[in-house]
Amino acid sequence: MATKKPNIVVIYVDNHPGAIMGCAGNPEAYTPNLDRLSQNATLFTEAHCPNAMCSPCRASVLTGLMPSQHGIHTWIDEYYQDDWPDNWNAIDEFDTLPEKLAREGYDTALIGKYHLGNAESATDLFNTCVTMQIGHVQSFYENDIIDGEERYKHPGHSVDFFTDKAIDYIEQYSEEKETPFFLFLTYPAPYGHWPAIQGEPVNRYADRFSDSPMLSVPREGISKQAIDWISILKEKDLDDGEYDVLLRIPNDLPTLRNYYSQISIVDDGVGRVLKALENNNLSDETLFIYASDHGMSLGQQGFWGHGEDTWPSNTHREANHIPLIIKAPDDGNKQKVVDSLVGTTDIYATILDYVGLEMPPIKESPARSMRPLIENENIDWDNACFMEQEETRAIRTSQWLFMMRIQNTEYDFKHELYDLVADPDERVDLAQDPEYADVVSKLSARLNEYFSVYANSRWDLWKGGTVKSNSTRPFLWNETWGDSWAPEY
Amino acid sequence: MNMDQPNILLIFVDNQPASMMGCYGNDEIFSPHLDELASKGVLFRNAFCPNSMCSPCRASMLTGLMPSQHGIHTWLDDYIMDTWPEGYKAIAEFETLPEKLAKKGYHTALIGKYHLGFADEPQNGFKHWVAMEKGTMESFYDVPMIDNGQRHTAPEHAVDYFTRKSLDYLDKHASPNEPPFFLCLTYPAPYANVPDPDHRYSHQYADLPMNSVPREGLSPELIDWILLCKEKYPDEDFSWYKRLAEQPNDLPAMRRFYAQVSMVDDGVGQVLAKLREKGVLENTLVIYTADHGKSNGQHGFWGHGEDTWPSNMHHSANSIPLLISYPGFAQAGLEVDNLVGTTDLFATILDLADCELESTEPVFGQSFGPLLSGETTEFRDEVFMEQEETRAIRTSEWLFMKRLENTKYGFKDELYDLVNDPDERVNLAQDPNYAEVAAKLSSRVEEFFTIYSNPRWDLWKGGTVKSNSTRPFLWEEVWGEDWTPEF
Repeated sequence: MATKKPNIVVIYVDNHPGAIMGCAGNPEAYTPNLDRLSQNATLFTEAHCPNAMCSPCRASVLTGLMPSQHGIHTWIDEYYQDDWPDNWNAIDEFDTLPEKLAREGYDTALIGKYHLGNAESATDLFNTCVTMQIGHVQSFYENDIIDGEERYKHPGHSVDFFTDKAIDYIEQYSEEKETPFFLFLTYPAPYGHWPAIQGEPVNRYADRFSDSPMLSVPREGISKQAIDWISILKEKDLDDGEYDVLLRIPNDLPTLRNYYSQISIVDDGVGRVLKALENNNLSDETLFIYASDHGMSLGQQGFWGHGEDTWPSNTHREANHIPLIIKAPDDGNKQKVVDSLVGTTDIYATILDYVGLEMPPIKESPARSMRPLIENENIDWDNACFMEQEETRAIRTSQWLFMMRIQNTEYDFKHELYDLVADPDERVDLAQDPEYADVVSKLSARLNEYFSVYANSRWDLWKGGTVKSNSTRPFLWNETWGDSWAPEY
Repeated sequence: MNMDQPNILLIFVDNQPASMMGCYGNDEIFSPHLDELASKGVLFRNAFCPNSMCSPCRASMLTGLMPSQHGIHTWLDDYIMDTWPEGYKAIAEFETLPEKLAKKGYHTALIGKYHLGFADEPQNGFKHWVAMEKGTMESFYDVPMIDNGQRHTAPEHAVDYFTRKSLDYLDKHASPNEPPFFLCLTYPAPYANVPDPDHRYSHQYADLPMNSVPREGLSPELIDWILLCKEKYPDEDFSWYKRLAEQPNDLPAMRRFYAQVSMVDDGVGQVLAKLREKGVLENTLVIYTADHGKSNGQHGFWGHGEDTWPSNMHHSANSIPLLISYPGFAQAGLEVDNLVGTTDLFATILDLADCELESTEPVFGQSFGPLLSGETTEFRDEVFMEQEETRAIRTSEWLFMKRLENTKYGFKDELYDLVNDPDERVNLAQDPNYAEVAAKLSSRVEEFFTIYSNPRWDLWKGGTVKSNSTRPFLWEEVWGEDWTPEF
């Protein structure tokens, strides 16, 4: 029994920015379970995802790779599913986390949204799958479920449904003392897009938010870059009639309240899962991780949602900052706050570390185990995060946020540089200021060096590569790399 | 004291919805002098302009006519001044308010913004003339002025400049021994669309939460308009249209706008003090109003009713402040709920100045003089508005926006129950239960514009506009490629 590996529970949610939790200092968010968890675990205050879209981040956490390595640069759009290869799984060619764990004797389960190709193909990676047919959430209710061999529609709230399924799974595996399990619980919430969160909330947390002034979401006008994005979509004939919603959501109070209520429903699920672990005496032997695929601007910097929803795309804090709470097994429930810069791929490496697997070679993956940060006070850590959003590549350090833009386009994109110490809100762009030319060239060199290692030329958009399934700016890549540029699989 | 011929001070400001004043219940605006004026006079809770642009409302104020009668349907675009006929005067064919008053012995003065054609020389019967060269504001500072034939650049904030010029004028002409004066003081503020460097009231607004402007997302109609402009005017600078979406909920922009009200209020205080000092306050009809309202984001748009597609007549765009003090006649502290309009104000001024309401055109406006004393609350319960493709009626019960039908856009009418839905949120026009109400209001709008329009300027019947329209493409589509503005 001494060698038994820890159970692993990763609750990986959809579009929850790191700042909207009580334990992150937000007085309006109602997240009692995450707050309680953070008192017995390590709260990472500077965790950032490599891309601000759903599918790329999910691929990164399961492979430890950057988008330019795994090829998924934006959400995989089900609109194109007729073009997908049969039973297409977008990360099929990689030795993924669940597959590695299965070889170590783990039972692996995906409960929740998949969004990496055909949802039926999730069974290629996980032993047990209870997942949604779709990745692009339209509603939290009436979702089509794939549950083993069964296919059905679940009428209730999908977060509650997946919580029930997760608890069933935990209870079932608590019986099997010999087999450790890896539960990847991917709630399709709080999500943050219409129609799913349109209108005042109608759920058990509605009353809590019904009169909330939502002062924790700063009131701000729409940015020029957000309007440019909508207008270029219209100009390029890519407007599906819904894009203008991105300009209508910011500052819409019913939507903000609805969104916060969904976070509380997610928090409720977290509490129930933690309780189930406790009830089955599994808490101490489980590596428990709470994280979100990516952040979400609720109007900060004048845009809604994802970093790709501006022109050019951005990697501002709100878009890429994720919540990350890790409760290590057998750690005596220590409360710890870590402000080192960590990323999504580091979650992958951390899990490998706790399982006792080898780290991926540094030449192949940027993933770093956070275990030393959790266990040691003083550790030498390269305090930087790297991000990419098609035409924008960025580095964030404790001092700087630098967004580098692709140069060989007709749009004359400008780089952006923010001094995070003097200007933590990222308001004053210093990239064009000659005084900062040195900083810009140093950070540019770091980015170039990073992506010369962590990019596969086939998926490197900056060097003539392409994307899997779809890009949100195909016109840009056609203009840059010629008419024959096209997504692949 | 000759009650038949009061002095008249008409303070007519630029883009101020009624909601932006302390006396209208806004606790974030610092407007002590306007609040005092309200307490000494009559406050109208339901005053509306006929259009939500600058030039049309100014023309209606001076002529008593609707846009489809005087021909000005939107702002006169200063940027195409070089296409105007030489010395263009947009309402020269009408006998205007100052002309009528001059005939009755008034000394007339315009001090402020004109925006009804070239401002080089006095127009419309104004004798004393201090005006901005242009109507469009690009800055409150260094504004080119024409001061009774002399051109110069105002050294101070434009509001302070016109205050100073008004004090000079009153020093000379305000006296119980002089003929009565009609001073039309048209401040080019609060305006809201110009970047405004700090002034002496800015600091008071620096940290204001702006809770008095409801937080609301943008409307689809605003976004439709912005994207349509981009499509229809590919060569134009798109940044202007973008601002319409950037400004709502932008706290610094909203605070700048609010702070301008305090600048105006300051000027009003100085001018009223001067009337008192000159011993004429007791015999002066003081009117404070605005050309039109302005949405600060209410209903998801910024600015004018024409800044949505289709145009709208929501309360925020067309509601104007109206304060009237007239010692010995208007009851101090009275609040009037009756619906009144800009053309009624025209009729009221003539009435109180003992002038005949004579016009070559039919005039819908009626004097609301009897309401001022508080003796009656009887008044016609309807006002009409028009904004190119939209024509509307507002009563105490309903707001009905009727849309032009023969276009390819499939515009829909809108109907709001103002008793149960005072915020105008639930459109009932397509609800069969309200078909009768909608039909009745629709035919009333039609009936109204049959009378109060000139076929030449009736856009709904093949007419055109003076100088420019904001949707020329629409009128070319509807009336053919030959459709073009006239003068």
